[in-house]
Amino acid sequence: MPDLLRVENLRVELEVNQKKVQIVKGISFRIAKGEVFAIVGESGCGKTIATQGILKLFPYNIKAAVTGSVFFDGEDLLKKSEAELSRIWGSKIGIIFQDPINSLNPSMKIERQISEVLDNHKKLPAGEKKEIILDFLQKLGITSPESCLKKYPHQLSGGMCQRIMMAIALICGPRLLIADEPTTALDVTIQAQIVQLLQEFVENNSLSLILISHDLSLLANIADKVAVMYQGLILESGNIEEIINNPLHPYTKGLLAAVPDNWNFPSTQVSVPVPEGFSGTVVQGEGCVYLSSCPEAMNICQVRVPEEIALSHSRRISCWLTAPR
Amino acid sequence: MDVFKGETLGLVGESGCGKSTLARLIVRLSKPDSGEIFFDGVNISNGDKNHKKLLFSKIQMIFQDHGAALNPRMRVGQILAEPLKIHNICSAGEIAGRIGELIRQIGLNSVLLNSYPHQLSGGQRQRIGIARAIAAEPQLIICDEPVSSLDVSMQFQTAALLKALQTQFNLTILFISHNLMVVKQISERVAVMYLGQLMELAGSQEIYSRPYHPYTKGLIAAIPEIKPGTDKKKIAVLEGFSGAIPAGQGCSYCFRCHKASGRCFIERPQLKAISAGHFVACHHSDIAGQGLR
Repeated sequence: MPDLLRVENLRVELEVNQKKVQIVKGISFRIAKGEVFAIVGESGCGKTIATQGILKLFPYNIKAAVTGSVFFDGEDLLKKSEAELSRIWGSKIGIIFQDPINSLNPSMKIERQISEVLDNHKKLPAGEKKEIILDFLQKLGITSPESCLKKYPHQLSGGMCQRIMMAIALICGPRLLIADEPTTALDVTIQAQIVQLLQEFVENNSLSLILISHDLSLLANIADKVAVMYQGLILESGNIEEIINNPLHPYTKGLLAAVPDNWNFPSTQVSVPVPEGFSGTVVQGEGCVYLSSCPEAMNICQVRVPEEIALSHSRRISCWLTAPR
Repeated sequence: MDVFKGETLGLVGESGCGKSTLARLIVRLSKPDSGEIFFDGVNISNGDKNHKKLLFSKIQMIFQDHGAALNPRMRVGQILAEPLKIHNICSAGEIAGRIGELIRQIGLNSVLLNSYPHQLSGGQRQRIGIARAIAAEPQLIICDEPVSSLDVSMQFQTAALLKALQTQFNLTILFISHNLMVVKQISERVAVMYLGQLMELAGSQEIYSRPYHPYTKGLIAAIPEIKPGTDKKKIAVLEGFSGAIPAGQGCSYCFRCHKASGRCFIERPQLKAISAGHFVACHHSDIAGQGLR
């Protein structure tokens, strides 16, 4: 199957307090049509910034420099102007965010927020437009779409707001959806509903999905491929079954052990088992980014960054433990 | 319901079901309209000021929002010293030593005592919240979504810390969460709440392997599992939305329940034992429970 999106050596540098910090340090991946690609990692690992880099869509107060290439449908998005990109945002690529309530405009009724995106990308007569919107809301499991359109975001629950976000992102029929922690702020029952909706869209419309999450157990149920990200780099990637059944990178193993399913409390421990610096410690210099937290670190890890190697067609890893030396 | 000495009771339910309100009632941040709360045999819900200080040192709370729970203008050392002073845990000269001990117990470096909360990571702040709670030498700790705002890796560390402290100090824990997997791992017994009512209460193993109430079954089916098979499993979806509150005296779950029958809409089911230690509030438990009681 041809790739819909191919990201090559993507780097994103942000300006924080007048200092330039590289948040994404060169990541590459490809996504086929109709594929669910998950990016997993802890907060601060750069997963959100990476997707913002793909779209060149940053909050207005952030100065960012993006390098590398992002081929979407054969064209490099990073070479496009903002005007060209704005024709792609919302129509060919949709995005939904973690915090649905704050991502909607609090002073606009739902109807206007959804029709805005249709007005931007498709010129439709008013009557037809309303019908399309009502149809779409019904598809998203909103029982009384008419009354919903007349409401403001604060009058809706978190789950409802996330459906509205999905409507805005999907109503123009994009080919790629980026979902950034779409269920993290929601209850487990609502989470199940949203995940089911996402799966339906992927299956029925051969939509490709980039799903960002820190929750591996959620991804296990929906993703085809997964990339494990840590401090701006993809440490391991592959088919979700391979990664979960046979994790190779120590960080992936750590993430899997941290899933509540696999919790294993030390039974007679009196002193407290808290390993320091699971995340957050930035390694300076030449070594592997995971060095300071890695239980299996060797001498070579301190001096050289492991290069990414392909173990199979789908599986890639950056770790000296698996690298031929 | 009862919370037994030395146990961890998990309290689960969707947002808005009243979990946090229950926690706030126990520590008297809110007042009950009616009903009574007993702690160690003493009625603590009648507003008797004599019990207040004593009880407040014996019951401590850990909050979900670790950022808001710590005073941003106080250093970690000052934050930890406060309960020691208020509850006269130790003399002024011993405070510094006790604080050092506390910070070691939660696995942090004593360098952090001079930091302000905003200089710490979320996981570190939550551990300071735990240290502040155990500083008062309590018997009961109420944890209101203590790990919800943390990353998966920090969730495990924080939960492991709580468990270790529980063994060390013989603590009783009321653990409130909407994350059923976390609750399963940390609790001996689990209580399921829906719109202000207790729906089911049973041992952790029992409730996850043999859930009885339709709501509990729905909640457990909605947990994503980490075992991807060849068939892409669908996470079961609980139909309906949680906001519908029955006007009358019916079961609060009746509008969402696929088993609901006439009686469910007019009469509120009471919590009844269907087997030893397994309680369910459901009219449909009458038939199933016969002979077991």
